Amino acid sequence: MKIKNALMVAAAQLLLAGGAYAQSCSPAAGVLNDGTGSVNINTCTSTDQLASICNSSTPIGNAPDTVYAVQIGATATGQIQVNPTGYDAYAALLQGTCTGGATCSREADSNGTGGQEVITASGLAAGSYFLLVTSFAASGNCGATGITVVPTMPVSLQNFSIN
Amino acid sequence: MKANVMMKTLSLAVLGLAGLSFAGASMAACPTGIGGNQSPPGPWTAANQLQSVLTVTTPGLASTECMMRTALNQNSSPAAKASAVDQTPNAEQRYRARFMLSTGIALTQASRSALIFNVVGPNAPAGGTQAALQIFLTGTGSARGLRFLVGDTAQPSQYRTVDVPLPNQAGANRVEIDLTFAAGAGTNGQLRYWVSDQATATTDGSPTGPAVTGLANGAWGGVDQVVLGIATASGLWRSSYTNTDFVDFDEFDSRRQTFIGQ
Repeated sequence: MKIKNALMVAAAQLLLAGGAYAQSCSPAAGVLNDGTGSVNINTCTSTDQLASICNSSTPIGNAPDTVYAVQIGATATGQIQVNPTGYDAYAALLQGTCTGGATCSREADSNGTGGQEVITASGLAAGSYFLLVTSFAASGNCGATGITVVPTMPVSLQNFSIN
Repeated sequence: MKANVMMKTLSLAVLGLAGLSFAGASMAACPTGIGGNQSPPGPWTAANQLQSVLTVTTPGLASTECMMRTALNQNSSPAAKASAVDQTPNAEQRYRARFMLSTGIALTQASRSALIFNVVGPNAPAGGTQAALQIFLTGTGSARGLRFLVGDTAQPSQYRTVDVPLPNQAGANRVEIDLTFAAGAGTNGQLRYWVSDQATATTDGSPTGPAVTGLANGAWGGVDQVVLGIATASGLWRSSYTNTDFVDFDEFDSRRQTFIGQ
């Protein structure tokens, strides 16, 4: 149904002569998966992509929006840790599409400047997601940031013996 | 066929909202959870919750059995929210909705406000967001009121503003909207609204205030989803109020054409 809707929207956009656009973002920072481990990025090198997210109900201001594509598997239990330096990060996991109208399946804004924010995968439906890292601060709202993926951990046999 | 399918889709929203207002004799009539966590399953697509209270409680407003109760944690994030999402609308060119609202918060100062109803289109105008209509609960300076921001790309802000005091300051109010979209770059979009004490009957022909006409709102492309609950609270709201300062919602219904009323 939404595919049909998208086609209708596309047709409407042609008629509007540039007056409207789908408020969308691009995962320019790359892809995160279980093999990512830790990556470092300076979010100041990102651009401000979206004005509002989470069903267009959360304005996110003019800070740079760093966006990664994330694929969540069935029964995933891992987490993504965001470690900002010198600014107060906010992280959101957009479900399905990288748009302002997408539902935010997870959000994290628990700590202040330099504090870690954590997005957990437990309970999420399998599918495509987008991790958006930004800040609500008017200034000083970006900086060096470590992103760590803690994958779904299998139970490993550490020791076994028969006496 | 297409029209029938779409109407059925919207009727699901009606059923779901009734899920928050089931008449019944016991708490068992109330669903547990909202959105994907709801049991029994309901039509709400999702629940949005961050640093907040979002529950279904009994009794409801106006003698109903259940209602949705929301509050934000004190000193919460600017992103804090407690809301339910309905994504069954599909680029609807006319959208009518009704819900009940009650709050005991001593909300008088205009600097304290929160978004309570967000009507979201599939598109956004250049430089704007996908919010085609937003209703804020806000202080008016002396009382509780609602602020409607309705999309109009002819305005520098892209929105026109209507302020309406809540008729029932201490109890349940009924809010209804009738939003029509202009085609393309047209300027014949319109918003009609009703804000009344829940006990007061309303009629299609007598909205609360004059219709907001001449809207250039085609750029939003209609209604694709709505969000009911609290979000985007002002800094003073988040610093002043706690997770027991509730805003309660009930009796949500949405349609394409017909007046809803009581």
